[in-house]
Amino acid sequence: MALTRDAGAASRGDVQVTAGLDISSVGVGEEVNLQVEVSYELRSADVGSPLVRAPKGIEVVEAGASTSSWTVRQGGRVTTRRTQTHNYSIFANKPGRHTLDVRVPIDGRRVRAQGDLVLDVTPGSKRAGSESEQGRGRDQGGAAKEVFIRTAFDRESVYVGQQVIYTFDVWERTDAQLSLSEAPTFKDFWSEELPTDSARRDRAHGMDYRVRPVTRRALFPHTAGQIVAEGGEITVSPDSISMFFGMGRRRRQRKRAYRVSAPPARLTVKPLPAKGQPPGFPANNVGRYRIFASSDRQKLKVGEALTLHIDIRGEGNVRLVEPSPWPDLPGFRRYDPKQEAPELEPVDGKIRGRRRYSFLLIAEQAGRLEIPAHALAFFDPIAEKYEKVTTDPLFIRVLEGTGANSASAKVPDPSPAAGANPGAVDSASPAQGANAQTGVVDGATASGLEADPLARPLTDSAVDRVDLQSPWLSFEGWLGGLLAAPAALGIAAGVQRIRAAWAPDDRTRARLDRVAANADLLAKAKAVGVDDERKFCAMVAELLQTNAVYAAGDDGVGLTREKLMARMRRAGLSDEVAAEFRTLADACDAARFGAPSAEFAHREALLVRCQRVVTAMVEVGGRT
Amino acid sequence: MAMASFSRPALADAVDDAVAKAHAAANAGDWANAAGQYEGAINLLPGRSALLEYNLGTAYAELGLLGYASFYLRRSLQSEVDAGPVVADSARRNLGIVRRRAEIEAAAGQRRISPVEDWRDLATRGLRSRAVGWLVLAFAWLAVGCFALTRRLAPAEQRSVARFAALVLAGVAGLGAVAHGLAVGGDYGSAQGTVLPSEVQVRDGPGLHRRSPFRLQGGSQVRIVDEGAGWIRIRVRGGLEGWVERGTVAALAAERRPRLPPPQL
Repeated sequence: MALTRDAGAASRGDVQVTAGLDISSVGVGEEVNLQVEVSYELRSADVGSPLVRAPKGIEVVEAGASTSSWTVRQGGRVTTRRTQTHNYSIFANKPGRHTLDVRVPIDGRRVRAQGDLVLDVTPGSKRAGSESEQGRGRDQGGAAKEVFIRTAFDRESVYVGQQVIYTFDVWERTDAQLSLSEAPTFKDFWSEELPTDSARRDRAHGMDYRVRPVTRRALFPHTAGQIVAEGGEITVSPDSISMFFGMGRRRRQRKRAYRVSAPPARLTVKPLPAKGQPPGFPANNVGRYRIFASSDRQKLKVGEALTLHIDIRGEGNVRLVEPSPWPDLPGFRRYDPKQEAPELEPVDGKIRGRRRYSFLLIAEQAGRLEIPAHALAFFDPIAEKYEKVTTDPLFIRVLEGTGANSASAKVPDPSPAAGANPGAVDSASPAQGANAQTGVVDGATASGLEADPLARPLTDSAVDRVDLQSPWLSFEGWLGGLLAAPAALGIAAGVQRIRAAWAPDDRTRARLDRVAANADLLAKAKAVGVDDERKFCAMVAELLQTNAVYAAGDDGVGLTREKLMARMRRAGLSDEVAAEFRTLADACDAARFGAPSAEFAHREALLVRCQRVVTAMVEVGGRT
Repeated sequence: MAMASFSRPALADAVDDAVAKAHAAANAGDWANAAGQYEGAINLLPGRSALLEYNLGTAYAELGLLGYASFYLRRSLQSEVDAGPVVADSARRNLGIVRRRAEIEAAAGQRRISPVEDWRDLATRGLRSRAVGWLVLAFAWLAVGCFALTRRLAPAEQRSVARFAALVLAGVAGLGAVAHGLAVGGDYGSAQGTVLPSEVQVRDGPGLHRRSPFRLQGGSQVRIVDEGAGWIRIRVRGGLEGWVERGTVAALAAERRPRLPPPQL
């Protein structure tokens, strides 16, 4: 350990006194190590223990001493010198500039260590990771200990029931095994476990330590006064540990296990102020809270049920907070509430949470029913006054039930509950007064359900009977019938396409129609030709003309015979056939309008010639 | 030699006798006896009777056996038995009362209960009906007919009208087919059932050693999705699933005699 600039040295004869602080500037509550070294010849002086005088606000704790000796042979003379090293832990509890005075009694006189031992104490903690400035952790032992315990509350003074955070940290710089042999006790507190931080490195007594948080609790004191969280012990089980005291060079070996006790942590607990305290105020209601009401239904019928939730949320002893007495609920029958396990969570190092009460309510009358405000009274330790919060009232619309005449039925009044806030009265609404007991029906028995009478069995009607038959249309049948519809459409469309692909085209169809028509007309003409010459001629002429137009194409309608023949020739009709056509046409004209020609004497042969001409013309017409 | 004559009462007489005794017990308020007699009459009756099932359900409701009551009241309302207006109204009323009682029991005993039917269930039930199935088929084949007609009609206006009608009919048939198919398909392969005892432990596997994550209230409506040796797997609307012992859930099938285990009176 190097001495600071504040080291002072004094000597008397061959006695030398040196003193030094390991650091010259600390925060309030932090530890500083003071080392005083007295070196002298063995024969020469009567040296006592140092006296350390510190101003008010500075606490000095002896932290151990060691002695070393060595012998020097010089010029035939043997000299033995001894050095005493005294270590002190200095705790500065007051900010400011402080001067320490160290004197060592030597031969009956007090020799003051030369130089001012000045310590600057600042209000805040200078060291990263150290406790809060309001902490008052006490070390057990002081400088150069390998293991020590620090315990602390985060406040010096709280109210009864107010949340205070307690920490129990082990500072160690050893390879030994550490185990918690005794946990701290909190007999005057309600305790909730908090998660501990992970280990960190920190500095104390001028040395680096590993800081292992062992316990972190949210505590709620039961009683007023000076109370203590004590207990807690660590067992150190070394195989071999080294301890270095001050500037000594000797190495100590300690092989046996030993225990390190935790210093007690003290707390001042104030009673709750009497001014403004509601009568019967529960001591657990210290903190900051809000209360909410909600229901799972806003509309229902007479005789139906709804669930009402009352949630209390906030910071404090959520597990034990007690709401004000439940208000009356006109128009509803209420059952004992179901309390869910409180949900707690640490937020910013404090316990916060939610507590829920769930009520089953049965609507007994129709109309717009009100669930009145539910209240919670608590003491705010920060504002130091009593507060009361309430929920918003809820409005539920209840419709008439089906035949259930709950409005007129005699329903037994709920009996006062045992246990639900007995004696707790809301002082903010004195009108409730003695009627502040909750009205809760015990259990969910069927005794209150006479308001819903069942319809009677029908004993006057004849017994009907239905013979069950297999349904005609099963699901598979339906599915099959449904899919058959688009299948039928698909099949029809397919057939049509096939037909279109394989059937004759329009031209061919027209040609076939023409051939059929010609055959029909020829047959008719043959039948007529036996008796009626004029009609025979007209039919033959029509046959020739029609087929000539067909052979000439679309433009053949209305053309003269010469033009028709020209068109036919252009379409491919041979001259011979064209001439034959002319001959037969002229003969028909002559027979119809003048004297019949000799040609018609042989009508059958004429028909044959006509058929040949017509066939040729149809062939030509089929190509155009 | 004396001839002993053996005569067996006619089945119709046996049914009438059982029904008369049941009615008398019901009128006297002897619900346990009435329930037994109605059970006997139902077992003897060829076919089903909505009236007897309603009366039996009401008797069980009076006895506080909400699971059995719910089961028989629902059976009396099935379309297969054609309850008639009087029986149907009374059955619906009593079913509503039984449901409310079951909700209260469930809340007090911290048991789960199936949710009430809402408009989705009613819509599904309507879509599942045979009438909808027949309508869809009719529309589909009408659409086919209209398509065929478009080929036959000569005037273009008439053809376009027929084609439009065919498309509309096909569209309606398609939508109806999807809705009906989904409604029936949801029912297909998983029967509806009712929890019979007042409380049943639902386990995460078929076995008494398996963990029971929740208890189900008697009268709850469930779907039977699987069966094992002595156990059946159920699903409650909302997603809860688990295994219960066979005999604790009765299927609401249309079979004549449900074969339920006797209730603990």
